[in-house]
Amino acid sequence: MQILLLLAVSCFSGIFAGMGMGGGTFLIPLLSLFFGIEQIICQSTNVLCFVLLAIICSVIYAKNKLIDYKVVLCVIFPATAIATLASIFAVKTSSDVLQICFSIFIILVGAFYFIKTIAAMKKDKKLLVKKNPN
Amino acid sequence: MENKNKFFDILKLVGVGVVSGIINGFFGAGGGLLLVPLISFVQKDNSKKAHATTLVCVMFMCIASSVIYFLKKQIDYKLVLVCGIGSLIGSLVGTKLLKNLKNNIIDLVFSGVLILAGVCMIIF
Repeated sequence: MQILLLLAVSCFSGIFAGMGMGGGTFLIPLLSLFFGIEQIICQSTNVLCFVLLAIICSVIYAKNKLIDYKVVLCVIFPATAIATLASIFAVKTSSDVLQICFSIFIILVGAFYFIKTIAAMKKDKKLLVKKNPN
Repeated sequence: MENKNKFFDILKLVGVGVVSGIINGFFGAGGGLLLVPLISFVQKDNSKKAHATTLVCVMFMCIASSVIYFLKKQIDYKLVLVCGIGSLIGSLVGTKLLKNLKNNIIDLVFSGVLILAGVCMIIF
């Protein structure tokens, strides 16, 4: 039963990942809230699931010539080095502290997307009114 | 002049890498959420290319984090297997749904669920 629930939860987060939005940002809180799994294990699960999906997607993107390799080269060296250090730090941090920091992070991201979407919707409405004043 | 601009663009991308590395490394997620808008901003190109490029960058960060989690024995392999299968099925559904749903609705659902999940994680 628990396996079926886990499949459903990861499938739900995968839907957002497929839409190009942070799938992991969903998987981590869902695993933590519904299954009481330790934050660091939720994080490692998400990271490994993402690697599996990303390898498949990267091959498809590379074939379609959608990857900007110059940008990749500029970003991956500092990003990978810092991510390694940050992961070492995360492993040493208590799960409770990690969970609170992560919660604040996703609330901020959520608020940012909410404000951005409302602003975009208002802009769309204004454009519609300008096009059809009646 | 052009060389100077190129140099600043590279510097900006390095900065973008550092910021996303901190977030993705510490939280095990969220790097892509930052990288897509930041790369689009620096490259002045908000297209599929920004998404694809971000995916490759985040993949490298996640591989590095995976090595650390492996060395520190912080991986539940059964959980990874089940969630990996679920995520794969979900992402296929998501890719198809993306064509049929309005962007604003997806964004609103996304932001609502994130805020709710964050508040629940702090309370419970």
